Amino acid sequence: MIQDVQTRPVGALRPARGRVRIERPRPRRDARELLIQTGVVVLAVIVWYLFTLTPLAQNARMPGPVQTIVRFGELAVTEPFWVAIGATVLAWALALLLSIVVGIPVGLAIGRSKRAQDSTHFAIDFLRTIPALALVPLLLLLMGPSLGMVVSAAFLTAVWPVLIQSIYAGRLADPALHQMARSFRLSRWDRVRYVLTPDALAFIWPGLRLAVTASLLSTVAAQLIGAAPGIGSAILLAQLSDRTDSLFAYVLAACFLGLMINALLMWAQRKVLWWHPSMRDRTK
Amino acid sequence: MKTRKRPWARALTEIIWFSWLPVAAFVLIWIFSGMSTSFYLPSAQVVLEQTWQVWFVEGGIAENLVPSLIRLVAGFALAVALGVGFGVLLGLVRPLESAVRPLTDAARTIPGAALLPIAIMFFGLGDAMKIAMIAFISMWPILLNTIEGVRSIDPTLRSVMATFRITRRDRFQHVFLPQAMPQVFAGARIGLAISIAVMVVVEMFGTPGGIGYFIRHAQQTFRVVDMWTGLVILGIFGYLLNILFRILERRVLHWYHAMIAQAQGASA
Repeated sequence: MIQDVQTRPVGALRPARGRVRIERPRPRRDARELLIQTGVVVLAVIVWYLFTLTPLAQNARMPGPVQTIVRFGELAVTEPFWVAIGATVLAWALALLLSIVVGIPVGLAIGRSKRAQDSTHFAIDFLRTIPALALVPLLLLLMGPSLGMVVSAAFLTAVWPVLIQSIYAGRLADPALHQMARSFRLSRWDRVRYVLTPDALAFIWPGLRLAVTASLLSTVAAQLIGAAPGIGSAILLAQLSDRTDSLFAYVLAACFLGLMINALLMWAQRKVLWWHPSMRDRTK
Repeated sequence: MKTRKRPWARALTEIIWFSWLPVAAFVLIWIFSGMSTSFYLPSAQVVLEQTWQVWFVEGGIAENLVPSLIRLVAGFALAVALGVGFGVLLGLVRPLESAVRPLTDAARTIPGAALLPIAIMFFGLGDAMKIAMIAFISMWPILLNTIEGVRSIDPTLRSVMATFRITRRDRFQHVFLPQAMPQVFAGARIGLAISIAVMVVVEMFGTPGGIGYFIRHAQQTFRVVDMWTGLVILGIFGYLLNILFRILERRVLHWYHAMIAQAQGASA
């Protein structure tokens, strides 16, 4: 283990023109792994097809993979499909943005003070255990099946992990790091950019990751419960009108959306947290 | 410092710091909701009286809370069993984990609510559907954390186990499982929050009975005060479950917390 670190440094700090420049390690793709993974996906699709031949699936009128993909292609050229996707992405993004804008500053501020932590401890502990999706009926009464209702429900789910991790970031900020930055006479910008932000981000990131998936789950669920425009209500409509092929096509779309958001998250994580010990193993 | 001589005074200031905000919030909600004229925001007093009436006097607990609890426990237990079982398997067999990663990625990133109509197609509107949904959606954080936990095992420990020819079963029971436990619990805590949320959602769509059904039904029939009582009960229910989980975690991970404390003490 130690040898590995010595022969191949993960990232080296190099002073260049007064500004710190950082060399990033590049992830290596394994072609064989990719091949096996493709094989497993193909296998899963074949199993899906075989399953649709069983009486159980026939009774439920479950569509096969070909039927689903054909229907997905048909829907993909229609406007309502993209309107539904757009509404879901918009609500998700707004909820996430709102929980970042609220959660991080409030969390950091609470984390800096012991008294603030004590005071808010019970309130945060209690409020975060209430599943926000239970509030959808109430939000429906107040706002109707609108974008605001969906965003509120998703925000109330996503803000807690961000807030709690930000409290940790504020509380556990390493004072030695700050002293070191000051004794090296880093400029204010460099101190924020290279010391304070990475330190806080390493704490906040896990909360952010949770918030990303939780707000997507809540967005779709709120649309499903409240029949607000989006993928959730499109799925509901397909079910009510007994179009199982549309239903599966929309679920497939939700699946792709989830995968794309996850890929985006992983990309951002590599960009932002490549220096963190937990990431080094993966980028080797 | 005066307070150092009087520990009770110090404890009192602690209690005041911990409780002033909840108390103030409660009083403010009580006053402002009392002044509210909105049909949708009834006064706290009315809500609490009705909560007592509906849930305790008229037996709402047995009718709606107990079924929810049973579903939640069944679904969550299933999620833990599946998550830990597959997690240990995938954590130990690296090629297998990388091979099925597209499938696990797809299954864990899909917004679970989208699967509800499919679950209804196969399982109907009854308990089977509800438990299956709770288990399926909340097992992913447990599974992922178990994989991480199993992998975090010290390579030296692996060599030691190989040297002493420790049997597969003993390795699992005495090394891999305890080693992964702190991570498993971290995943299970997230899983529990997700399963409560999923429970509420599936009950809103499923057959009568359950706290989610109660809230949704009250809203649809415009019994606003009843809907609020459901939210109050759900809040208390969720909070108590969390406390219970924390007690369990403290008992099971006692050795781990002790180890961390000792390591910190040694380095300080």
